[in-house]
Amino acid sequence: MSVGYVPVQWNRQKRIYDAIVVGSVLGYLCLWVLCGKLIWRGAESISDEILILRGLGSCAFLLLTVILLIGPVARLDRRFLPLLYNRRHLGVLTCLIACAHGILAIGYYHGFGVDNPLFSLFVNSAGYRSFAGINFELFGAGALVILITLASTSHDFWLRNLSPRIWKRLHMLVYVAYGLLIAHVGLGALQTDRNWAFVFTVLVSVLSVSAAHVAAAMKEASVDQGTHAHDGWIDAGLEKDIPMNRARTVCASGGERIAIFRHADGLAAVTNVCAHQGGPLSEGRIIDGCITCPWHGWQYKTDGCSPPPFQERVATYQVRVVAGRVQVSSQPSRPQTAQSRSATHG
Amino acid sequence: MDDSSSFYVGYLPVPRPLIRFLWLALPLLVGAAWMVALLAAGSQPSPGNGIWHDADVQHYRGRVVLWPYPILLPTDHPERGYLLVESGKHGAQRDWPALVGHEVEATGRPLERDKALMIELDPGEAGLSVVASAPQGTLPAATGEEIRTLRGEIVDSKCFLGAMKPGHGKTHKACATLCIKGGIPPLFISKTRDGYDYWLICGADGKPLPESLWPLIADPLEIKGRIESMGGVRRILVAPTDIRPL
Ligand code: HEM
Ligand code: FES
Repeated sequence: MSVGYVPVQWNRQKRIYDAIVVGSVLGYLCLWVLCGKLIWRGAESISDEILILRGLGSCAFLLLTVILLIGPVARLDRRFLPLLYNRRHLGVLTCLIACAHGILAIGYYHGFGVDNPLFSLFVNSAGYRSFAGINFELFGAGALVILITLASTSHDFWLRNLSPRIWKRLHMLVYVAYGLLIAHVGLGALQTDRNWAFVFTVLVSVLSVSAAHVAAAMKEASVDQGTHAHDGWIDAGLEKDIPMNRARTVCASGGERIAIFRHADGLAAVTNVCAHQGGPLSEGRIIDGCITCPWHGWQYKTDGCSPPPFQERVATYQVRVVAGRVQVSSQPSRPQTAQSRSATHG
Repeated sequence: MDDSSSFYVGYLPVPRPLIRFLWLALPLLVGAAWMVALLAAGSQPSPGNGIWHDADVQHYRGRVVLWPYPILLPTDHPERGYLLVESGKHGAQRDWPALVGHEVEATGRPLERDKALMIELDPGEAGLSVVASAPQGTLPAATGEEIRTLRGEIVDSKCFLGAMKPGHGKTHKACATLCIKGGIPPLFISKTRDGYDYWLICGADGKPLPESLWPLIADPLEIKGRIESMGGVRRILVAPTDIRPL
């Protein structure tokens, strides 16, 4: 959470996370280059630059696939939450690898000639004649611009200064980048060489990212309850059905999800959207009396305010229990007015 | 797994059951990624058998012809013509009127693929200089009148003969265009059962490939033209109207 900003807030788990990721990436690149060198040797060897460039490109693509999978997979099975905790570092590393690929490609394919390499990128691979002949490298360049933008605004400093809403919108561009990459690979490498293993990898990647998102959305829709408001109150089921220190969600008619927690002193309802990066608070827990977000562990007291010295707030909702059934107000209380929401048993 | 004791918070100690799960899941995930590296890297197709002897400076003696691209016909093996290019993506730009037909010495690094040969000349005088200024004998005549229809693509000869591997296909389009713009002789390559067959490609008038055709480089094409050979080098002469994008 944010009181002061340091470039990287490392802790033991982030260090382990980063070590595993960097080790895996180095292993991937070494295996790629080694295997490429063994498979075609002597007069038939692949140029080193192209071998490395392909290894970097495919590595960045796979990393981005994993990044996009972590969110929905962690919602389907919360044991994957540890992968989400430090996803930002994964994103920055992906960007660095993609940059290396892009720089190598521009230098090798567009350098050494009569044109400026960046100018060449636009004019010399330009088959604007037909869809199949289209300039696939510009799709890669577009994706790279997005990745660089996201990596350089990934820090919580930007989250705070751009406002979480704008930050979140900006970071949704990662899906645009993934789409551009599919075009980059589909209209480039896959149209040149018959590398079936790579075609298969791209297909499986795209299908699993799509399937995981659909499955997570379906799961989310299926847990939404009580969308009908009567006199401004939404029914949220039986109080005893909410496990201790955990939450249940309901969906207000405006589409906003509300997380209703049961804790030792009663019930508390807050928006489901974490003030940090919009993590699903309802999938969190109450720890030390605080609602704790499952994504990066930001905490809020049951009045929606973070414990001091932190100053984050989330919107709260009134809750009451009528004949054993929980009801939650369909309109948020103003987030500024911290109010006690011990349940009024009626 | 769903009780609070196994809830993960990054800055708190990791619950035991979760550690056990991660010990299983992470190696599987990383193993799958490494498997992709092995399989995808191992399934890359052959980049062809061109070789660039880029550390092996050689000297050649012979005569230069423009056909329409510069070719050196060695004195001892006039049937083994070498295409001449400069370093980088540049064709040989020399004072041709002063060189053509004379006996010259060429110095540079050879490239070869199958029976096709090329020299990347050293820069300046050191790369190509006249040794006997009187024209020596007669130059070999071009033979062949065969008209053929071929399917394939236009590439640049330097990359295809070994400077870049692979040096063909759509991913190589930008590089091939840059090379041909820079004066590297263009080749037309056509797939055969066990590799490629290839010819220098030039206009129907025997002049270099017209600039208007550069946008078609690396695109799948069907072309029809006359095939000739001279000094072990083959070329196809094609009118723009006989080029059909596929
Ligand atoms: C300026 C930006 C970029 C340029 C100029 C560029 C250029 C290229 C080129 C020329 C190739 C073909 C290589 C070959 O097989 O000969 C390629 C392949 C590829 N690129 Fe990019 N690229 C860029 C950005 C990206 C980014 C951002 C990513 C991923 C995050 C990416 C992922 C890939 C992948 C996966 C391949 C296929 C590799 C293979 O054949 O195994 N590229 N790119
Ligand atoms: S989204 Fe990061 S802690 Fe909630």
